[in-house]
Amino acid sequence: MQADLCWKLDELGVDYREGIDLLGDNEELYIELLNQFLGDEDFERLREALRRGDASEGFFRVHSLKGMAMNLSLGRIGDMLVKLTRQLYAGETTGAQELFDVIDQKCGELREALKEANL
Amino acid sequence: MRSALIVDDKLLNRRVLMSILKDEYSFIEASDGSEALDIVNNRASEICIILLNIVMPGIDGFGFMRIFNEMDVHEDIPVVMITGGTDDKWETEGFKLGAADYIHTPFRRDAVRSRVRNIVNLFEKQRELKVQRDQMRGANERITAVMASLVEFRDLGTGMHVQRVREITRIMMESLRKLYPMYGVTEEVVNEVTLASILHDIGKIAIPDSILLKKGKLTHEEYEVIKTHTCIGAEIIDSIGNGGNVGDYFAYCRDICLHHHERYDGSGYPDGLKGEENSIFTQLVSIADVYEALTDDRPYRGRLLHEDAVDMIRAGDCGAFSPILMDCFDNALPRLAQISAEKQAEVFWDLHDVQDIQD
Repeated sequence: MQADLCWKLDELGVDYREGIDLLGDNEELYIELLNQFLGDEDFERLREALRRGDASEGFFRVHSLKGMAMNLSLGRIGDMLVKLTRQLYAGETTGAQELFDVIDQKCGELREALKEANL
Repeated sequence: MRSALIVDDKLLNRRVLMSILKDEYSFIEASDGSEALDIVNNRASEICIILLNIVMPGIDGFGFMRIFNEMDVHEDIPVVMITGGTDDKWETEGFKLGAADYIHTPFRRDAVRSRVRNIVNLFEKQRELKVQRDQMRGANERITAVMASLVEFRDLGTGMHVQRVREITRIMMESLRKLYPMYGVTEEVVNEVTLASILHDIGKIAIPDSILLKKGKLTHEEYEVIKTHTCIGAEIIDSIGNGGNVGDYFAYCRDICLHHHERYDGSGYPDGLKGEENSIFTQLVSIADVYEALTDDRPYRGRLLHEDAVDMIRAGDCGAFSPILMDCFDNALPRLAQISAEKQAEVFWDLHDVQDIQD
């Protein structure tokens, strides 16, 4: 993996070594799944649910994103998704939008890093 | 290579699991509970394990389990549920619904592989044991049937009485199961008591021909000898079971042999058991034996019609039976009438066969 990308992933708290290890040292598959995660339609559906204040739908969407993020060892992004999942499961929407905005921003940075590395 | 059915709405999660398990399994994928149920319905024999996400659109993991549990194959295919630990209650719920185990996200490669392998192996062993048990049960059933027939070939000549007692016992047991769930009668118990019922008269093997085959009325002394077939039957079963703890089946056999002539009011033999002192299962075999004997030909009388046999049993002419037993008997009557009619038809055709030969 390119040094710049490694540095950026480290900065975002992504434990890519662990993620690649889970996939049997298949780096190519890891990058492919990372892109798949970042393009998942549930980000948009979660955004819409939060806009409507729909905790139930929001929980359903964020729960899926959380599971994928954890399996990709996305570190801080995963941690924030866990927090948002618990909050919405409890039916609590206060501050959820702000938390999602941070997640969205970090995912944007990850997308950018992959793009810069032509991956 | 048998397949793991992976049920998850996210392709990404399915690909992660497949990457972890690809050396040991092939895969069938489903993106929700409904698709997974279709696959189980059509391809159960290919599946060695189901890896099931809980939160999914449509039929979720719990919904899948509720429907899956109604399927015949549910005992043969282990389900491992996948959870991210959002709510600890989910695990409890999953286990209640029959999940074999859980895998938590984030996955740990070695842990997932070991868990899946262990559970698949465990269920494979369980399947092998089940096949062996069924084979042993089949052999046991055939030996039991032969033993029971040996007695009948002496006095009734056909061996059909015990087979019909068995059939009637099954019908009565099913009535008991339906009407009195408090007895906790499982399918296993129905099968074991039904099979055990055919040995009820095994003790007659030790009764001399001069008494067993006598066409006239028995003397008091001869009747006392006949009555010993109950205790002799129990001794025979003891010798097979070697008196040790050999499970419920031999216990049912022994009790049925020993107590199938007891009556609810204590007027039976050999122990004069009253009321519920006699086990409900043995009481069921007693009434099955009486009904079958009444509707069958005997050296000393012809068979009775179903309706007449029912009237006699209800009137207590064949001894007293418990109210629970009579409920089961009443519930079973339509099917008993059917058996009786089939028996009449067999006689009709037998007579015609004889007539054809004579012509």
